[in-house]
Amino acid sequence: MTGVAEVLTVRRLTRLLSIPLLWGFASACDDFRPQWVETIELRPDSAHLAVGESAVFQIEAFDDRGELLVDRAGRAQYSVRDTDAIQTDTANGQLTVTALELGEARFSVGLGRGVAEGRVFVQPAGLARIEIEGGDGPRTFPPGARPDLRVLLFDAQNDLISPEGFRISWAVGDPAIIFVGQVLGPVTNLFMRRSGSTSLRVTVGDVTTSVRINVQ
Amino acid sequence: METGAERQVLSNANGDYLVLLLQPGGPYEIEIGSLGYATFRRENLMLQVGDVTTIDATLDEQAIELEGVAVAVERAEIFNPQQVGPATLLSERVVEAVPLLSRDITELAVLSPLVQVTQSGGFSVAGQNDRYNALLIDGVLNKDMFGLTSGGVPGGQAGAKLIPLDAVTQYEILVAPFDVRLSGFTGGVMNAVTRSGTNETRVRAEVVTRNEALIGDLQLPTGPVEASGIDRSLVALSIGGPIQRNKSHYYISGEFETRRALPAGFNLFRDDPRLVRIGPDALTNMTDIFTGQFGGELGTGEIFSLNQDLANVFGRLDWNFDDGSRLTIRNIFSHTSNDQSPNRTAFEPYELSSNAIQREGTANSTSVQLFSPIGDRMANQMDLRVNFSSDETTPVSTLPQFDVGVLSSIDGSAFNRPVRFGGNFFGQENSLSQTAINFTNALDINTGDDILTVGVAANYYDIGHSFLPGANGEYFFASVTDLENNAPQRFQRTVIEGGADPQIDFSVLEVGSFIQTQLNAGKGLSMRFGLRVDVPYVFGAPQTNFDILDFYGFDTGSVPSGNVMISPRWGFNWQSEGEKRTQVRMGAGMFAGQLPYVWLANAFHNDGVRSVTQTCQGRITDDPGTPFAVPSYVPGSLPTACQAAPFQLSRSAVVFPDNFRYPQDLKAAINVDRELTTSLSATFGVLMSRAVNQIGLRELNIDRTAGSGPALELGGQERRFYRGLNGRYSQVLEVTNEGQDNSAAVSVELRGRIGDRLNLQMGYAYTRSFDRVSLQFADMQSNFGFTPVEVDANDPRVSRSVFDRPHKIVLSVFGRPIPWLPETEVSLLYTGQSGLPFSYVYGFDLNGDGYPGTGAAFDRNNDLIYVPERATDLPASLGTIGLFARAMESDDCIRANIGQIMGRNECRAPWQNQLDIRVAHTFDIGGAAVRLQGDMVNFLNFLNGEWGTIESIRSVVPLLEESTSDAAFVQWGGASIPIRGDDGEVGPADPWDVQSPASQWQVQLGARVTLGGAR
Repeated sequence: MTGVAEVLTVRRLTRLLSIPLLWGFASACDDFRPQWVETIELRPDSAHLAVGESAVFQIEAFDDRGELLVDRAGRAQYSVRDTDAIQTDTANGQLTVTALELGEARFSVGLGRGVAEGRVFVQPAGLARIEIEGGDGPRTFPPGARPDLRVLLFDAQNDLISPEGFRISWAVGDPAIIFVGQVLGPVTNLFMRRSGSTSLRVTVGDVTTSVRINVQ
Repeated sequence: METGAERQVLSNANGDYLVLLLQPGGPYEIEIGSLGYATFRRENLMLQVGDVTTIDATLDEQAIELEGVAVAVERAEIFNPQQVGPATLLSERVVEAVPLLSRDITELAVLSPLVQVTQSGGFSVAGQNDRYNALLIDGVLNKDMFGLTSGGVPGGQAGAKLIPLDAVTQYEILVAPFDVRLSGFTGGVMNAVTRSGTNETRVRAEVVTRNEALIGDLQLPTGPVEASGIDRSLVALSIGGPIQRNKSHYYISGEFETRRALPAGFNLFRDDPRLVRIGPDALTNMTDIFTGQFGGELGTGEIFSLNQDLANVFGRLDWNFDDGSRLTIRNIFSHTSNDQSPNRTAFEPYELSSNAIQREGTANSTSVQLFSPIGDRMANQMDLRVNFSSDETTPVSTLPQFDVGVLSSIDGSAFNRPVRFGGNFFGQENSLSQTAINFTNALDINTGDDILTVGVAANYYDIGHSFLPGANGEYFFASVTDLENNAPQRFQRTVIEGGADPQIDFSVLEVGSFIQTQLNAGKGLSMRFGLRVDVPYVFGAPQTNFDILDFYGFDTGSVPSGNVMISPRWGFNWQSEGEKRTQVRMGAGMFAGQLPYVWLANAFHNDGVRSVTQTCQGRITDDPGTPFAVPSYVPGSLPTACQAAPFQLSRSAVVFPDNFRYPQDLKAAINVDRELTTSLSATFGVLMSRAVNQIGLRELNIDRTAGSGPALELGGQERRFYRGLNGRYSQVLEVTNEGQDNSAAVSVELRGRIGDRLNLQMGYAYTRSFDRVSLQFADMQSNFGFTPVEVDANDPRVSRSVFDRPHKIVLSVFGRPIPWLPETEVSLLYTGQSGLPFSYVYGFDLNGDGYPGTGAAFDRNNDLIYVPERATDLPASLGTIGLFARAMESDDCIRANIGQIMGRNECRAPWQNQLDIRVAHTFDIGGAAVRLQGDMVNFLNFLNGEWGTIESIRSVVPLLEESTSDAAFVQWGGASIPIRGDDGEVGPADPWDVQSPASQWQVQLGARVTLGGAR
């Protein structure tokens, strides 16, 4: 096949070899991957406002690989349930809430396949500090004891104020040691289940304090 | 030649010469001369399209012309160094001789054993999609690139023909041309070479007629039915001659035709009611109730005439310039109107005449070709074509579409089949206008041993398309009682938001460039290396649907544009030395196709914003408290809301990924040609094709879920079940690139002469074709919805394509066999081929994937049948169990799948045989050639009424439907035959239809008068 040798000169072979290279280059340019919003995170997920105060909520969107999708959040759709406690305004993917009267409001936000829920608590103005009655030091109770504890609310002048209108919640670090009998309200009732040590935490609006409790 | 065209070239130092870009045809006269040598002259040289004819001449110093100069003008056309891939070339003699009842030149493609006629009437080349072919006239693209129809003829939706038959002198079918000048296909190339005027004026007139007296009986399962309502008349005129002798010529040809036919299938009042599954009284009762209550014209359930009118005019002007340049201007005009048959098959709703649609197509194409020699070694070819076309689809009725379940008692058996009437759902808003501009320029440079070709191409398409299925609404009444109570079960309508214009507009620019070198290496070896780069750009975009973007990750406002496609090709031709009795042709390379732009238009129509389908479900009478119940039908108006609630809204979307590429295949072929005798040659060929980028579909709006209830009895162990992912949408389809489709073909061909009087062309091909989605339709919802699901709707197996028809035999014999009647021509054409593939499916959405569904997914049944171990395992009534049990006995395909879900396209209609013959005799009367011609199509059927049946079948056959009775889950979905066998029991009818009149012998008579002209 002398004809073949005549045809396949180096110059022509080089020309042929460039073909798969070009093809490979073109193929390498393919990097399309559909990116949908798999999850969203609401920032913040709740707010405690006094009447007249405002808060702004917004989201961050992530794809199915957890990558942040920076250009999507502006299309978040907020849905606020009927409430008289707040006034809302949605624009550019943000929810601006203005507190109107004491109470609570819930809303949901969705984008793509992601959904999140948020809450707004409208509470009286003036809360500066809280304290669990009896001070910050550790308390000791025997197993089986059922003590009542109260949270005290202070204003900026360190004067006591009424807990009415505030959302107050109680929690412990280890429910196996202490059972919280009353989760909401200014006074909680605890049951010392077994020996051990754990923390008791109370939250009033967006202010939190805690004490250590030893059961022995 | 007869046109007076002249070309002069110089040979190189070795004496090699090449005359490029000659017009196919002839007769040519060649003169070779040199100073001091005698002039060599050869006359009557005819050139085939694409031919390279070798004329070797030895010049003697003596001024004497030598005897025995080797001139191989009579060799089979295939022995040609330019031929690399598999091809079938049909000379003017073949075009003239083959009995072509339709006079549609594209049908000559069946003479290639590698070409199969598809379910939709297109041509599948070596198992490829029938929309992937290129259709050329004199090498210039002349295809409907929008792709409304599979045949690709502009205006083809209405049945338009490409060009008048008399205007064609040669036709070629290139299965895999490894020539980078040709692009835009992954199937094959079909090229018609047209006739030009010559120095002698020629006038030709022809009439053709056929009527029901010349047609045999239609053989139905219940007995023969006399032919009626079928006729045809055609008048063809042509004239050609000189404008200025040897300089300019004209040729004009026109064909004007009317056809009349009847709806194919089983027609009520003519055929047995069991075949129709509707009793005549029940139908009359239903129509009386409707018209009595609402008025309106429902049309007829009987046979009725379907009319088609066709007009084709072709004109051509040629100029030969003194410098050897040649300019050709062509114009092709066609106008066609056609009544499309309503469904009268054994399956799915029976359609009255008001549900038919009328199609109208108009196309005008003007092309300019300039062939310019540049010096002695270069030649340039410039092609420019401008095409305008419009396609209109109009429903016969202005009513909404109605489906009414009609319960009939026929000979003691109960049948329930919907009857459909009113404005056809898919024809309610359907029109297309498009402008195409195609430009190609190729420069051939003869470098001595090599020919270097460089060129550029640009195609521009401007498209305006309206398509809004269900724009006038659709009502479904579950029973005639519901119709009486005016209590519809379902209403749906699709509207454009804000009442905007339903038409979408976009344009596409495809640019390409190519370089190719044809190397003559001597020793009979020539090789071809080519590289082509094509880049399509889309102008215009749908609007971005941000909800789709955020939920599915696809931007509906982004369509694939600017993606580069590279097509390297290599070809090889070797001819044995000496008499060149053996030839080996081999090639491999990439072929980049064009996207049928109707598929891209899907993304514009379906962006999930533009249009919305309004739906109400549930009868008021059943549950007055149902909020989404359908309001009663009020003639002349459509509901604005459901009974006690707003409409249920659903939208659909079709999205393309940014990196989507047009179809692209890798093909490799080898063909060995051998001259068996001086007049007979054989070819053995192998062709393999593998998708690099083919097209697939994925439904994004479904999620896996567990099946439940009786559905689990129908393949629940294997079948996957789905639920909708996002209730705001009905379907969200992603058009993907797939790389697993493949096909292979082995072929043997024999061509030449038998004795002195007969020409022979015969071939056999074994072709297999496998794919994941067969893409037979214009809209993507149909393409997904008619792809039967074996297990996973979004991961279809690579299985038999709908274009898979393994065997084909073609035999063409023609000539003047009677010595004492030398002017009598006889022609015979036999084609035998495997039947069409199909799948048995359920007539409802068993797997919950949304198909069939609302909007464009309407009626799209895609869940494959599960064949239980015993028919009694079927959750159905005794009647259905009985019919299914008989089907399990009589249908090999069903029996082979007992205990499993059937495979896609696993079933096949019977083998098809067709034998057509033509007898023609030419008289000379006063200088006029008068040719009388008689064609008998389907001669086998003439010999025996049981032979020659041509079956048509839809690719999906809904064998079992959702039961209308609470006591059963499924019911028989097909027709039944009253008495089969000795037991007198009812049996299932075959799932296919007997095509009419194709299954009947038909005689067509013609007379032609030709005045003047040698051709």
